[in-house]
Amino acid sequence: MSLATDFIDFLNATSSITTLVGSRIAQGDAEQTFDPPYIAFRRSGRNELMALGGSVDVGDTTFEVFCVGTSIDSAEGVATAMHDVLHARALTWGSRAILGCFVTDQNDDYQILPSGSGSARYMAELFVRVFSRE
Amino acid sequence: MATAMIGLGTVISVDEDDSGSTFTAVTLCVSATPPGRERALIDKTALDSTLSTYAAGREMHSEFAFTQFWEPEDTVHTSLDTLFGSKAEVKYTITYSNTSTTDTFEGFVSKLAPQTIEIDGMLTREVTIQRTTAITRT
Repeated sequence: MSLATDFIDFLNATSSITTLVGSRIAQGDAEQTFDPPYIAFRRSGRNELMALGGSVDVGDTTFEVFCVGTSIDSAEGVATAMHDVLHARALTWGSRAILGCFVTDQNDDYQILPSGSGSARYMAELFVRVFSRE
Repeated sequence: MATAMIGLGTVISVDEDDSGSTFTAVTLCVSATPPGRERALIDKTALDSTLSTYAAGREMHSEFAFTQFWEPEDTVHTSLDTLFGSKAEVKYTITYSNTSTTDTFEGFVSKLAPQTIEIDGMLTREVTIQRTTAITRT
């Protein structure tokens, strides 16, 4: 399984996350799929560590995570829960050992929905940096 | 015509028992500085010389240093700790990335220097070998 799939499975198995978003966690654009609150993320890239002999099979992958809610409190609540379970921790995602996981807070944002809906979507963004073996 | 070479593929090996027959590749090396070669300069400037001049003296000592991702319990990494403790002079080889050129020399481990441990960084250490013989290039 890919690291992204393991990431989703880990979040789906974490009660402090599912209490807030249920199973509404997806890689890619989830706006058309889920009603808030939900978590969507994309993989920003992976830096593979190298030695003179080649790859050492360890790298760090960054996920850009969007915690989306119908209010800023809702979005930030999801982001805080994500931070609490991920930041500065060595974890196990499925059968994969995560050597270290680090979360950095990014800008909040919001999106006005089309006229007539009378509401907006709020988003708290996180960068999640994951050290793992492939 | 000379061809530029890349560092990737360079292999550092150690002959732990100095038998000359069994070399073990040192794993997870990320950079290396091969031992340099420099001669002592013997001053032969005379009182009436208009230019300082030197004769070529004997080849001077030099050292070999490399940095590796460090796993303290790894067998090969531990053997360097053992060689530091024993002060044993054993053979080291550097096989360059064209795989056909190898430098061989003897030396002893003079320094094992773990690098600063960062929260989001890998464990690394620098290993320094003091060269005690001439370099043989094959």
